[in-house]
Amino acid sequence: MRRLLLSATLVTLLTLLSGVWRFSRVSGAVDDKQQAGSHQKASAASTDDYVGSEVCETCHAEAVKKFADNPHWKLSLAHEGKGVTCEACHGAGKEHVESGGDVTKIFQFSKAAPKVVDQKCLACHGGAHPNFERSTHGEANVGCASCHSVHAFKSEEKLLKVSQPKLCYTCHTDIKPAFAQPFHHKVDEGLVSCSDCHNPHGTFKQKQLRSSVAGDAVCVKCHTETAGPFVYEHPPVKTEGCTSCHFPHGSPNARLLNRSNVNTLCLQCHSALNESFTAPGTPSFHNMANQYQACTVCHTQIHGSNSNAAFFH
Amino acid sequence: MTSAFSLLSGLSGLRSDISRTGLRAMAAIGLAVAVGTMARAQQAPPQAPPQAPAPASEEKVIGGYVTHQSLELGGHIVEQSGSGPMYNTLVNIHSGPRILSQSLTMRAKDPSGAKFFDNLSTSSFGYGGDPINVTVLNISKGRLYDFRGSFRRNRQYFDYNLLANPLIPPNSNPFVPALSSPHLFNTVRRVTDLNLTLAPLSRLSARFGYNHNINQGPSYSSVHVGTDALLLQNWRNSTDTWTAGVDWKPVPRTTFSYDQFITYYKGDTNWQLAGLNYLLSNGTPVSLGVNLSSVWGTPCSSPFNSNGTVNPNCNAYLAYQRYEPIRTLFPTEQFRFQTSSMSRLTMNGRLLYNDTTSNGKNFYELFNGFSSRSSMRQSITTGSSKAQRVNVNGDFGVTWQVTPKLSVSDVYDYWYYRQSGTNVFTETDYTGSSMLVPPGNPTSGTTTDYQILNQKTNANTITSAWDVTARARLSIGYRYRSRTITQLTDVVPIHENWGLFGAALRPTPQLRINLNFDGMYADNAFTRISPRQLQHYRVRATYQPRPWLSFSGSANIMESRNNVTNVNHLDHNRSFSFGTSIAPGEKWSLDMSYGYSDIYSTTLLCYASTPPPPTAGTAPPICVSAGTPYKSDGYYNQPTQYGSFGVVSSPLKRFHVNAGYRISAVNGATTFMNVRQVNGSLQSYFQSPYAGVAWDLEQQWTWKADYNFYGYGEGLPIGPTLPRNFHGNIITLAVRYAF
Repeated sequence: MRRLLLSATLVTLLTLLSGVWRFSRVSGAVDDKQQAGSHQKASAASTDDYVGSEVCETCHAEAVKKFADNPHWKLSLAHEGKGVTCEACHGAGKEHVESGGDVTKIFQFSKAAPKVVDQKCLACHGGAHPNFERSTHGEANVGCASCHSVHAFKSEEKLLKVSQPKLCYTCHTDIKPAFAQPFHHKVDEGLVSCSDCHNPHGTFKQKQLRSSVAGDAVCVKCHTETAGPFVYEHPPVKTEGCTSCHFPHGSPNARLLNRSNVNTLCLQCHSALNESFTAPGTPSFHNMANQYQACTVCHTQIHGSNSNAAFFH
Repeated sequence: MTSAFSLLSGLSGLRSDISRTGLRAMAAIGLAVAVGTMARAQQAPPQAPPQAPAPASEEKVIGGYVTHQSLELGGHIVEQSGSGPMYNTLVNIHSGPRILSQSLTMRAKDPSGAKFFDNLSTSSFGYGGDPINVTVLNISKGRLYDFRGSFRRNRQYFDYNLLANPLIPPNSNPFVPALSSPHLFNTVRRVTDLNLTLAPLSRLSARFGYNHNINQGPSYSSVHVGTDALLLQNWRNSTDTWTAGVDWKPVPRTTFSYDQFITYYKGDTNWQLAGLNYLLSNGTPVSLGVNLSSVWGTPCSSPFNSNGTVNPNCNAYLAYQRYEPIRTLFPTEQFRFQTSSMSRLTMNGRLLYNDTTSNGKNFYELFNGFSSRSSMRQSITTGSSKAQRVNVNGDFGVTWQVTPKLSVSDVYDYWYYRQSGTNVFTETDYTGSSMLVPPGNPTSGTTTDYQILNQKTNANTITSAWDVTARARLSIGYRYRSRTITQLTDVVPIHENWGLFGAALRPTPQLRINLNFDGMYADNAFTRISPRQLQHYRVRATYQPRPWLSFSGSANIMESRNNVTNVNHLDHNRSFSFGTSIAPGEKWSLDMSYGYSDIYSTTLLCYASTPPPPTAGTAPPICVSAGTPYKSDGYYNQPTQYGSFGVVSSPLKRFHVNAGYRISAVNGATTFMNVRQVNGSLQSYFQSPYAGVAWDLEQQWTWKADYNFYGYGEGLPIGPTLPRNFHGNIITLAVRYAF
């Protein structure tokens, strides 16, 4: 109940703040209004306001010619072949043409706020990217045009401005070094891409992670032997996730482990100082200076086992 | 044991030989190709960069399709020195001819006249011997269908010899160190993805998909019965996933989707004894395992007779086999919807139900040898297992655009899985005291077991975003998440409260700054390293003062703690990074990056070690009474620096060069619990300078030469293993034909 009250208070507070802002600073959104107005005008345009791509081509010949390489050309097939191309996104062009090319009379993606551009794109692509507005990218105002370019793309499949992973590295400069470490997923080498594990348009998971078709961690799509279910689960694998023990991008440690020595990794949880936790402590005969120092020499099936509670086989 | 390890590790030696002989052969081939193509050199326009579709200078129409093709043939000349296994682990590129890349794009000149497809594009790279091969194929026909397929193959050679290494004391007599990792891998993974969408632009469209993922090949594993034997693990597991789904768009901006997934997993990995390096007095091959040390007295105090044969009363293996076929069926149904048809309201949801059943019906394990602890001469175990998991996942998200500047969104996530497993095994043990005598009397027993693991998660995140101006957005949110984990009779409830804050600023059109803060407090933790408090700060900025000049940087700091008594887990992961791209024209461009990350943690833990390492502390009584008398703070620090730069230049119209350098260096430290442990890769560098030239010989021909250096080095000491340092020189010569 307290949490509900807190949430309601938060919403009310922000609504009031927004109202105050709106009345106290009307001119603050001039740009927005112009863009939104343009958008609304486009939406409300009648069929007479559309001029057709042939007219656009008279001035924008290069853009129209290159459009044949673009998946959006399929829009021309919509509405029984009467669909439009340029004006499907830029809005009706009659005013723009009649004004002799006045750029304020047509919707310009490069000048519009990311949110307005996103609304344009999501009008058609919302079904494929339903989580985008609430995604990390959406909330951060990293809009569609930040990564995609309809007219100047380098990667044809997704109309990306730059191919993955370079595109992602543009902002995620902290992730690029991880893939240069000795042990890493082969992203720079082209075997896997960022979007194999992350959905840049958002998911219901944190870190925009995808999941396997069965709802498990995305890791098990390739590492199938870890999916289970096992009679004897190593519980943290299922409850805390793979990243309890592994760095997902890259690591100086073998098997992308997040500790260099396996025994340190294991003993972090399996210690006799374990009053409040269910993980068993280290047995006394597990002498770290003899054959028991490498835990996984015996506990080989550490992700789970069907036949041995100690993950021996 | 040495010869056992050499089974796979010898592969690298063989490859080194190939490399040496291939060096001359490839040089000859490369030279011949170069001379041959240079002879054809005439005026030619610049070609596209590597791996990009070939843009021909003129449209070439074949059968009504504008067609571009390219083929790049060549090969590698590799010289490698130092650790072959480590080179194969990190690089694994060897000499030989290759189909370096290929591409084909076809676009219908007149889509209405195209019968089967409007667009086709395919490309591939790496065939002929590289560890990574990829092929993609996309075909579409307007409103009829859209097909996307890919095939990816990756050979994984892994032999980081410190992993799972027993670190045999050098003063053992005899001293038989484990020179390769007992968990060496030489496997190949093949992943095929096929996706077909019918009527993609219609109100009702259908989707079909198939994914095949198989991972197989030889590897090593180990098993403990008396002592630890090295096993040859014939790795083979695969999944087949079939997908069928429909999308229904009853009104604009509203979609309902239903998907049915069927995943079938086949685990056919089997194990057999490796490392039969010694002989009994009767000539029978025997394995003493990977832990042969007179210092430890393993596998027994006197493993050898005076004549060098193995003591028949020692822990040892004469034979071991294990076969455990697993079949798992994952049927999954998923319903999704999305709508933005209502004014100022968008919402979407998902409901997923999965009922997985895993069967292991024919478990078989044979041990033949001697285990002194139980006086067991042979053991045969057969049985079966069954595990089930029901997974229910429901998500709902809604965004309400309260005013043009204010939006409120809420995401609710429900995830509940319950899984149970049972098994029944019959074990027949045969007594004995000597491996020279056949197994004695059998005793048989049947055991059953039952396990459960459930987790129920409820999470709700409410966020409000306020567009203060066109250039500033602030967001604030609150997340509550509860988890209840049930493991047999143990029930662990965890309640988390999160505060979320975000700011997206665009002070000028050229500058973008994003700040985020997530803070979490939990009243409980499932593991000792699960955080009870977490703070995550992120700052990202990009600045593009000119279209050809951009700077970007980020600071990403995550601090987490589980600082309860006797745990005191502290953890941070801090990274600071910077990148710039300068591309003033077609003549040249420059990319530079730098990153520093510091991963650190401490966790109180206690352990047993003889002799104890110098850093060992005295453990509290609870540890001493548990037989683990030494305490450690579990110190781990991994400061890593990364730097790279790359230059691309076209000094002449038909001559293109590129060069660069990448290095990742870590200078970490950790508390050792074993006097023979070393830092290994925790104090290492991995660098790879590179350079390449491309010469457009004529309109369709390009000659290319690339040089890559890979160097890996570790600090001292290396430990009781082989050194892991290596360097490799890779020259790649190629001819690209675009037509």
